[in-house]
Amino acid sequence: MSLRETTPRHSLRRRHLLRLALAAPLASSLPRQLTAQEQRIRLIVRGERPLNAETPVSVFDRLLTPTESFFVRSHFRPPAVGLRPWVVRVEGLVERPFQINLKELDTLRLEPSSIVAVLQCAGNGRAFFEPVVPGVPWRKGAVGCAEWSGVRLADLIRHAGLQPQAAHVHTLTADIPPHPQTPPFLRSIPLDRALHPSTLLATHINGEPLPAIHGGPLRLIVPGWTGNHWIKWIRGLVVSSEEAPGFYQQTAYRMPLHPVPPGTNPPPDQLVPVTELNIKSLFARPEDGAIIASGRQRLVGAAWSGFTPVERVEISINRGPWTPAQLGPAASPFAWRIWQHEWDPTPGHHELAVRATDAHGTTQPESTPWNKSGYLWNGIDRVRVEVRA
Amino acid sequence: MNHHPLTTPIALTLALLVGLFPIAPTPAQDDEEGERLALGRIAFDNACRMCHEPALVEQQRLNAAQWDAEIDKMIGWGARVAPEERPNLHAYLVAAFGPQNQPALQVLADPIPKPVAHHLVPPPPTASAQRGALLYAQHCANCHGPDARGGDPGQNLVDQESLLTPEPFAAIVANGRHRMPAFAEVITASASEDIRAWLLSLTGEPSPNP
Repeated sequence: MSLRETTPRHSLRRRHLLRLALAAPLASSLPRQLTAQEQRIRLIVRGERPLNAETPVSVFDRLLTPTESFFVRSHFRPPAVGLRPWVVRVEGLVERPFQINLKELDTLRLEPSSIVAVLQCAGNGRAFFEPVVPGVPWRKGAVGCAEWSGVRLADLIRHAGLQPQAAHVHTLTADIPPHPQTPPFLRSIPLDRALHPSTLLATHINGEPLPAIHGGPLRLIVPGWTGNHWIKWIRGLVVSSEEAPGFYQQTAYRMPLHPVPPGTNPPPDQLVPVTELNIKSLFARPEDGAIIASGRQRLVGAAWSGFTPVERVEISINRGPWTPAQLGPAASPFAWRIWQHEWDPTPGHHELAVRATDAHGTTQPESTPWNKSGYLWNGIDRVRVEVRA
Repeated sequence: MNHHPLTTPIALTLALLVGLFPIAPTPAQDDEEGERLALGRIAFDNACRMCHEPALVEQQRLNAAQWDAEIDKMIGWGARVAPEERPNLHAYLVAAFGPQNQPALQVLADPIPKPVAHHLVPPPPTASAQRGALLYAQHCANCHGPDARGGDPGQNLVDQESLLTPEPFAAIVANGRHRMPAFAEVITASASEDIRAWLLSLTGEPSPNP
């Protein structure tokens, strides 16, 4: 039965078809006031299945992001946890391959380890690139800071003993592509990064067992590096002389070695893997578009980087001079630092900006060089507020 | 600044003539376009929503070339789009989720829904994985693939959370979901447990050398 046969009247049919085609998705796309319940939002949804959701910036005013508001990045649906004992294999270029039931990890007598570290998706801020790029359109909230606890990856690998040719560690995960043609989320990290003392296999977040949605029961923690290395649902570690093969290591998560004109993509030999986080800061308060009462305001937010520490955070009001904000303590080399700044506004409309600078003197740019997949956005965060007398 | 009193009206008229007239569709063109978009919407529901709920797509703002590349990528990854459906799907995506798209804010006010269970509730001793394998081959393999690792258009079923407990597995089999038809007339609740028993015998253990 064709559509033409079902709708004989010309104008009616045209209207019906257009409505059918366009109205349903676009109706939900109209901006609207948030309800009281929505104002207590835990997460902003960027895709329901598989779940991709970002944290509202308002909770970036504290060291540890609450687990219930921590952003979620999924490529495929999460695997079932609890179908059978969670067994982790360590094999490849090792002297003594082994596998262990996660419940019996204690029997290896590895030293427990914890670290407070920022986890940020490589694509956080993708929505700010112009021209627009495809992918999950993260704005500010695909980032968070948590305490991760477990054992050092180095200890587990050394338990197996490395062979001399070892150079990379492939991370086998349990999430399953929906179709045989869909590439698995197979990735690897270089051996020196795997052996770095900050690199953990975590079973806990903020003192609680790691929820399955965040990669429980076992997730790789790679402080200072982008979230694509923080593999969820670890089931195996394969030591190899080569990087992992396949789409997610060899094609995805690469960006130009040198800046390119927007809209262009250099040949593969001019692309390098996305690894270390760059210097970045955000406002937690006030939120963009906020209407605030006059009187002294405390501006608050978070600032972080990769391996080079944050050295200073500065505020500019209405494109005026940059003045230093007060920078809170560093809970660890990989934790973010909460900053604050007192502001006595006059009534009216104002634009506030924050920028951070690292110990090498690298400062956030106005906007990040364009790259085809929208990685590592760290343009200066600006919010517009209205102060009412 | 002083404008000639006629400057603005003339500019507006020119803008209307140049900007609108050439692309103003005749009713017949409008009609064809509407039908194409409607068919594209159906292709979107059938091909893309097997793996994606629409929010991810609804929030995109891609141009025609970018949607072309995305469709190619997804067909390469197993999305089932017939060659005759492709132009309609592309037209729909560009029209609905092009650079002019203004996505809505979608929020989650409640905690993330937790999985139904973290512990397996095994099928009863009367369930038979052997019977389940035969039932699967007869009713499920055509869409989900002979080894249950995904096919056209069914998703990979190995290590799915829905295998943990008799429900919601039996309800999905009985009532269908997305494009999956209802099997209540042909697969009983006990047969559903046979199928679950067979699916549970498969594991998603990754291969070290994929």
